[in-house]
Amino acid sequence: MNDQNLLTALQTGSEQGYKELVDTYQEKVLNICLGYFPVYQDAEDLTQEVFVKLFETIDNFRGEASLGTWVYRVTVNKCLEKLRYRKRSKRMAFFQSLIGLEEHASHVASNFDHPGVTLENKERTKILYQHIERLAEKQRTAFILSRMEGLSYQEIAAVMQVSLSSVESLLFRAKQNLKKSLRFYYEKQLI
Amino acid sequence: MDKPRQNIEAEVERTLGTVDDIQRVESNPYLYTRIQERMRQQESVAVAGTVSSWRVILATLLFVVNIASAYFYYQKSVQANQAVGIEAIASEYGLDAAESTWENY
Repeated sequence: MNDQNLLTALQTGSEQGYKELVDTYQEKVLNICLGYFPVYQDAEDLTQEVFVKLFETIDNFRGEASLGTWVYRVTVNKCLEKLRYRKRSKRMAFFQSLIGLEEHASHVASNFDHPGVTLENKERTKILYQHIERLAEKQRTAFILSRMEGLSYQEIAAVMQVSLSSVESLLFRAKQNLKKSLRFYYEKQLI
Repeated sequence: MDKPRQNIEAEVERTLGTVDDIQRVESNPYLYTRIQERMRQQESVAVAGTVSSWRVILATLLFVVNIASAYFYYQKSVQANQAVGIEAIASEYGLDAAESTWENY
């Protein structure tokens, strides 16, 4: 089924269309979610949420972008939404811990469980994720879409709805900031 | 560049390079079934929400009707008591409360 047929099937509420959309994009959605949340169960839950959102909003899709771009965009937005929610919860937990109500919320990286990472790379990848988490939202998104999902600059620009030069700049800054942050981390290890 | 500095740079590069070793993860073959289940749950929660909001609206409406009828009943009984009072005074002084006007005096 090509994109146009799939879209028609989805907009008419066809069960076959829904199944086809999930079959085509589930792996991509899951791997992007793992880029933001390297905990398999969390990423799978989020993948389900993304598809529910896609089914609910399919009527709003006007076809200005390709179906794939739209799926990526909804996935990224859902991940960012979840990140903001977690940040808010973490802030709340911090204040609660100040007044002795609750322990400080644990860091996502402390639950690191990415099935795509080999055992020998686990510690190092976990460190990388801890530093990716510190990047600004846009830099982080560009980095995940480019380095983890392997999208081209044009595709990233379409997903993020920014210019090509912005994508280049975001990726450059993401890499610079990651290097700086990792350098600082390893310097501290030496002391 | 001194040796520790070189080591740090090497560590940074190695850590950054791990991103290329992350393998793609295959999704759960039952994902579609799980999504359907989640949608069913959300629908039933939405229906329950609609039913409970209708209940709240109905309860509020009943409450307002109750208060309004109590108020009207109270007003009516006050007016009735006033009428009885006027009639009592009129009969005590031998007046016809319904027909008496200032012109008669």
